[in-house]
Amino acid sequence: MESLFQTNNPKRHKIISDRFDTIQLKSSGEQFETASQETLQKKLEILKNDIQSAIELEHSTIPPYLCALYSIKDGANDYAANTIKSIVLEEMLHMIMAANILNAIGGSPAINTPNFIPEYPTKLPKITEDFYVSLEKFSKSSISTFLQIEKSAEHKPHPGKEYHSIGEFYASIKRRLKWLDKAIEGGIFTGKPELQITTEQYYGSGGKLVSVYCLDDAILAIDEIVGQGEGIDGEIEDPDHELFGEGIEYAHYFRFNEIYHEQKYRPRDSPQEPPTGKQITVDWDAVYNMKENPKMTDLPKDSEIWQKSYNFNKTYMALLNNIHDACNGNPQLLMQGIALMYDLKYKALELMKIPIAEGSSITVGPSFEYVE
Amino acid sequence: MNNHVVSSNTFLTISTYLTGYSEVELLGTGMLETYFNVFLEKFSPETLHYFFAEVDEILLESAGDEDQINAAIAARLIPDSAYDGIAKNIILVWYTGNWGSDVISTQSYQQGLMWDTAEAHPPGAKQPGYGSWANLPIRIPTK
Repeated sequence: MESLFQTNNPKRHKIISDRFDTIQLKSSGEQFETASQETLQKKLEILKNDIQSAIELEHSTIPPYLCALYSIKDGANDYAANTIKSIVLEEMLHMIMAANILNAIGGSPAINTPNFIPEYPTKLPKITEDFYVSLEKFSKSSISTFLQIEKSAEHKPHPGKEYHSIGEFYASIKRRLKWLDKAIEGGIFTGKPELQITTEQYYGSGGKLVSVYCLDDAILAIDEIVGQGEGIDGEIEDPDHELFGEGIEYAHYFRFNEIYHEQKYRPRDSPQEPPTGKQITVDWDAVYNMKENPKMTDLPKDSEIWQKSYNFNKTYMALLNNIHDACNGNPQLLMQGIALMYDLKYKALELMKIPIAEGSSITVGPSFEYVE
Repeated sequence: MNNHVVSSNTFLTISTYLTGYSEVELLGTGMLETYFNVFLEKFSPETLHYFFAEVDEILLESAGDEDQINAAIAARLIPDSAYDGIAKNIILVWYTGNWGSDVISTQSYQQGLMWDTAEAHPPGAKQPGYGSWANLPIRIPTK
């Protein structure tokens, strides 16, 4: 299948390094050339499971980012709010691109199952690093967790099935996509093209969506995901800005770091050092005091706030169902999901303002739980 | 004058009767303190004091009987002559987010209950998403 998306942007390719692949190649004793087709098919199934985990991984960052974003009071912390918003939009884009990759190799993304939603506080799927991600308000502590999520690990080979960073996980997926595509007769990009979400259905938010019809597309999608998150090889800039002319755009890690340090980066700053540019005004107190990791079971059953929380989660489920259906044969449905996303936002904002009990300074907060 | 306290709690309670929205719904707008402060600013302390005393009395004597509360509100709070029209203004402020023709704040503009009541959205804010008008309004079944 010929690529429908222009994949050969020379500037982008210059930024992307194949360093991970080379390292992993040397460390791996596996002989793909001599493996039986049966073994290779098994490897392909494992890869499909891992890409499903990648979709779950991308999704697992979205509720925490949204909690931080929606906890910021109207009109306060414009810089921080806009930054978090732009990052969460990119995570949504990454989730859809990961689903595109899975569809391209004949898998079926599962987005509305009970296990799809992590129970917060949670570790990130497939990532070994020992930290937990919570649903909590915008604070120095939550931003510091976000830095850990987006942090680039020192890339080193290791035998386990888990990874030190998101970038390392994707590097492994990329490597296996390349090898299996070569080693399996007829290649692995045999998924139905009509399953792909395209720029027709997803536009305007978080960068350009990559539809995946062949290995080059998959590599481009992965490089885009990793590049937007932690940057490539410790670069501050996100590869996107050269394509879309949005001005200088830093990778997520660095944008969170600016908020953390209340200071912007300057063009010549080192990725290893804190930013040294202009001060940013961050008002850590202009925030709704949402309960950390709220659960519906914390609320009196059938009380009005329980019902509000339930309605929020029903909307969340409706959105996940919508995305699931869009990624499993009905791409055009994604457009209808937009209204659900806005509805979810307004419901979350309400929960940010409603006290958990009369006179309490703590508010209910959105719990992002699976409900029937 | 009795020792009735002019409090945002009582303001919230009487607002539920005047607007038909529950306490949780009203708190969800995030506007309680702002609107309460508007009334503190716009009316004399004496008028407010007598109004809140009357509210407390109505709630107390009706002992939770909704019909009785509503009848008492209609008779004693709603007439223009009653307490400089505070009750009517409470309804108007919650529904429009305005004081007269002045928008109270950017938040109040968005939080006016009239938009929710009409299942519409304030022009230029709280959009339901581009192109959403092509689809039926969202109906998520809740129990």
